[in-house]
Amino acid sequence: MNLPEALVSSVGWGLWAYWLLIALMMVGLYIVIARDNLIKKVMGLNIFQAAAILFYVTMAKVEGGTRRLRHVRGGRGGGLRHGARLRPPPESGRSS
Amino acid sequence: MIEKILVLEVVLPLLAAPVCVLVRHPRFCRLFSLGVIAACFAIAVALLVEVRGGGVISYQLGGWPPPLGIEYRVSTINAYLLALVTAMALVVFSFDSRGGPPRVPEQRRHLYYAVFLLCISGLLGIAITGDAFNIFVFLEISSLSSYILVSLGGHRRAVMSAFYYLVMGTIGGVFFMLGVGLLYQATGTLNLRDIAARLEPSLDDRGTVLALALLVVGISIKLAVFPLHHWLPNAYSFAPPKVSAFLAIFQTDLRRLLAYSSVAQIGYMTLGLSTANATGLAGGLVHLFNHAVMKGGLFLVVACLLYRVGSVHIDALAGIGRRMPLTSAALVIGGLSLIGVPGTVGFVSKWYLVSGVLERGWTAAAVLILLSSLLALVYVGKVVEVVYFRKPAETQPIDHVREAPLGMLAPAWVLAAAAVFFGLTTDWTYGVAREAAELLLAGGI
Repeated sequence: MNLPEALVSSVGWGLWAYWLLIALMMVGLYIVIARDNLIKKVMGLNIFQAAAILFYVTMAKVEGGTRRLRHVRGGRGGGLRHGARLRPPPESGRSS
Repeated sequence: MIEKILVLEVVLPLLAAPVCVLVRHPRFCRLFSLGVIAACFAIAVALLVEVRGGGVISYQLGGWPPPLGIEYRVSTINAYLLALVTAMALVVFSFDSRGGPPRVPEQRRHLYYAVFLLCISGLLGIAITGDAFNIFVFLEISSLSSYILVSLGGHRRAVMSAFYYLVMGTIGGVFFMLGVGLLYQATGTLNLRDIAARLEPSLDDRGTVLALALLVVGISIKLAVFPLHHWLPNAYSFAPPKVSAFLAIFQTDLRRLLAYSSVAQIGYMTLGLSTANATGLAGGLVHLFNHAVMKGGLFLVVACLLYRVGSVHIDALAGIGRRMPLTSAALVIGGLSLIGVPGTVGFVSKWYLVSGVLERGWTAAAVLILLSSLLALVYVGKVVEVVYFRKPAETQPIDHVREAPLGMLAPAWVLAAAAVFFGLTTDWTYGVAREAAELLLAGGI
């Protein structure tokens, strides 16, 4: 089994987006640290920040990216409350 | 009633800032900002009185209940921090009585006040909110305004250090934001209390571990720079307390010396937090207050010296004790407190820190705290020796130097007096900090 396959099987296809984001983020951080040009530093900072923002966007798209919220009547303050199953077992975790 | 007032703590300075920008009249802006900060201080004290003894005040923004809406939540710890921030802002602000901040041109002075108010509202927001992402928002408000405040230093180098501060601050902020995002993934909520209830502190969950690691790194980067925005950017951010205390010995500029000493003091606070027992935690929290009092006082003294002498290089200060006796006396009191001499605030916090560390069985850390105090003795001693006993250099006559104006001297002395006063009575400092620490450890945020 070569390396990419090992990665795929260990983390699952759905998480590839995260790997991309990590790569993007490290590119940004590298530019901030390694470049002396202040404009380039700012550009690197922007890439770094954009990756973090994309991370928030990705969460909604990756299967199993977040825990589910469920509407419950009579919860605290009569409003929304979280579903009872906050920590699903690993197999069912990606099935939202 | 008190819940309604609670939200004003953040809203008042936030709304006052654009008012300053629109009115543009420097004198009006100064008095107006002073009034707003005084009002915030009054609210913070009222909140502290209200929640002392374990009370909690909760306010739901826009009437949305917690899991979806943002909740402002004040217990002893928050009220303590709010009172600390507003009190320091009040003293520092009243310091500018001689026609506003030096080096900011008259036509741009209203912007200075606006940025100062934004910075304060950000800091207060961090302390008051009960929502993780809201903390990030306020962190950015206070950080962005701090970058501007740093760049106002007037020097070419001030702009550069503001830029590096911005780079570091942004990296820290992004780490913090990622940590919050991962916590949201793990728990499905952003409300701090819900997160605390839902999060299982287990090392098996990689997401949670990563979230906590990111939060620690992000907050550490921010911590090293956030309370002392004017000087610290140039100092080493991650040097351990002893190292930075050691580095302070070799500094010849009083401001840099104090900045290095701050890094050491922040190390003490972090050490206090890491003991995770009531004594050490309270020691760390009380040191937050004590450090603000003594280092705030010392920086005001530095500003007095800078105003009259024109330089705070250690050679320029030779023999200044004769020309500015009151300023120098305040410098000595602050210095003694930095060392931790009994009867000053420095002693109180170091006492509880050492007790907390010993309670934990960390003898080496206790020895390090004491050694670090010895190093403080060296660098404070160096300054006192120069100020009082060394003859002024021939090339730098100080005959023209007079005592600092009252408007600058009074706030510095208020803080110096507070350093002694709170060194003798600890009910409102250690008492409150202890209560907050016990609440925190019991899980009651």
